[in-house]
Amino acid sequence: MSASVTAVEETPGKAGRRHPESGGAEQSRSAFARMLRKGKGPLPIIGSALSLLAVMLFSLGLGKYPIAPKEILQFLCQKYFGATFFPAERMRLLNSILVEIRLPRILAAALIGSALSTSGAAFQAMFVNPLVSPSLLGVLAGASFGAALGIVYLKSWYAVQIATFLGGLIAVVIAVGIARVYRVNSTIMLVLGGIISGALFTSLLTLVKYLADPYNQLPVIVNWLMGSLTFSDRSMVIKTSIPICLGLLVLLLFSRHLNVLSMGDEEARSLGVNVNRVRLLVIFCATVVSTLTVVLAGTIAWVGLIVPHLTRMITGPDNRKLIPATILIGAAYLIVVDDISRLAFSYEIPIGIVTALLGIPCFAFVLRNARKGWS
Amino acid sequence: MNFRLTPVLLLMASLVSSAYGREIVDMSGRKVTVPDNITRLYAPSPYGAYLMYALAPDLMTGLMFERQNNTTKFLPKQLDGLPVIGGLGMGPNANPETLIKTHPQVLIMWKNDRNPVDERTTAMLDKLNIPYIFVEASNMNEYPEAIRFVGRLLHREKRAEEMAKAAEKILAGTSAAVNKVPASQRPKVYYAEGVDGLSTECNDSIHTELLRLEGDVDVHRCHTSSHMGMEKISLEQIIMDRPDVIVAQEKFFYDKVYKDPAWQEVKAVKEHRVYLIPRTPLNWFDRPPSFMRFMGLEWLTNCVYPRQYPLDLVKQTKAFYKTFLGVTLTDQDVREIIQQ
Repeated sequence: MSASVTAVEETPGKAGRRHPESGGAEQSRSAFARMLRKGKGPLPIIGSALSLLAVMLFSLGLGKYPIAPKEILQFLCQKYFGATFFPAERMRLLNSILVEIRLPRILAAALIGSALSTSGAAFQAMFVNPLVSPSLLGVLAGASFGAALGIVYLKSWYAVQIATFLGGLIAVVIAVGIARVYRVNSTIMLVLGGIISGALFTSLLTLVKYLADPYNQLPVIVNWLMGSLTFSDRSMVIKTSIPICLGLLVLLLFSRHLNVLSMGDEEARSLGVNVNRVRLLVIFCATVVSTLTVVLAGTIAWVGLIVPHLTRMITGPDNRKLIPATILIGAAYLIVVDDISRLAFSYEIPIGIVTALLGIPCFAFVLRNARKGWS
Repeated sequence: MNFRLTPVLLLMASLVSSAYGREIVDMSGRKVTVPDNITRLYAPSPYGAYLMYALAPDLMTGLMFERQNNTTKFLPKQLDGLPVIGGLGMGPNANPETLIKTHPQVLIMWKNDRNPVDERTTAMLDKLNIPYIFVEASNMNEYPEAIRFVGRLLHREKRAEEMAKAAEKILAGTSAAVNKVPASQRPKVYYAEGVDGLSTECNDSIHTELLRLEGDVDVHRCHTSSHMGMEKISLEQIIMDRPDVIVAQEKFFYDKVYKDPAWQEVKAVKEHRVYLIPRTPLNWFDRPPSFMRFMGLEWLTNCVYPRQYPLDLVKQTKAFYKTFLGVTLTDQDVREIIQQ
């Protein structure tokens, strides 16, 4: 018993799983309480919100077209407070660059960063595993396949976007379906279902790439798979922001349930949580938001894996703090990465490449902490 | 034993020589023996296949790619019903047995300085035991000669000459128009690819040959040897480059560019000089680079230099499709092709 308590202090999730039958509801509750006590006050969330704001403002001043910070301030004064610094023509140019080009892109990066990071954090809690990313159930593979299929066989770009979205959903439905067919309600079956579904759609994607016209369609597919925020214009950002924000809101509201799920199924049941229903809801929300990121900007890997870890270093493992902080830090992270992708060279580097190049060393660093316990 | 076989061998040799009647030198200098009268051929490379659409659709034993549904009516009828075989060296690989099963007498390979044929492909070709011929054209100025070469090979000199002449006339006419404008006064052109319009090509890319023929007017000045292309560029960069003209590949982009507030500060958009590249049945500009680019060259010269190169686009499109593809277009067809 005492051994179990020490373990709980270090790693609540694993400890719970190691002793599924031993303590019953009471022990689970105490482990739960201990875990929450580990978290810090509201400071991390306020801090992340402020840093997101700072990153957004800073990024608004960055770009290929030279605009001085002073000009941006004057522009804002003129636009909203009626001051007159610039002639109308210069004003139109500044408006175009700041409001129509940079702002939608910053917002797109924020949305995508939040969506991927939060679904990653939710999955990591749910599967009680630090190596989990949003693509676990095959959503990115499915969406990529949908996009590629659309690029080759569908004519309108809207149809391609719908195919992308459906591809992501179908992949996850297959993964969950496989787990259901065997009537084993465990996360391990879901993971296996995800591996099968992901592998299936990856091979289908390869097939479509092979069949695509090498002059015309293949470069489009390859570019898409590298991910780029240039695809997301203002109207796309507005359209996808509603479902993404709704999905994030649901995940946020269920962060307490995620805490419970992260202790393992038995404990969650003993705490009166309908594990299956909550799990399906979380999977659904995470799938919708991460598929929409592919619709917006192609596949962007590593964000959903790294950001939850970085955030956990600040907030601790309590999902009630982790999820809101992840939303904010995920947004800030991807905005910074996108700044690099648009400014580093004369051409833009696809953001998926930058997230991977930054993410891998980050992950190697974070692993050092993960050894102590995934939380 | 050997002596008794000799007459049989001689007979066989004579049969073979009557089937493989003629030795020719192909464009890469190889000596190849081909039948006197070629009645079945296959072109396992996109460049070659497209030229065959124009010169010898009736002799083709198969297609490189599935044709897109909306393009079939602008392509020769003889292509209908041909199996899709695939390519060697580029594109989806052909199954060699499928290829042999269609009994082509020669394979038309395509070679250019950016697309050398690698050893694996030639090793594969040698195994097929079908004579293969290299046609070479590294740029559009070399196309007329390539067309004439294939014409001689297939005994279709007259038709090939007609096409080669038409191509040469376009090359000469457009370059005369371009040369009337001093280099410093030539409009700058941005080539917008992708649905976001934010992919483009370097000015020395294989994909921007038409822009070089317009007097090297690509605004995106850089070097690439990549065949893939479609480099990402930021809209801010485009605003700074101040292109006078935009040529767009995607209809989705073209349809939104005048409405999208983000693009309104681009010079070409302000001046209403964005043009959508026609792509039926083959792209007029690139992707794939085919003979259709000659039509594209006329169209583009007219877009970039309307005063120096006036053009009756409908009439010229009809004439071009008649000469190269043997199809007669109605006015409605032309409108569909130029997407207006």
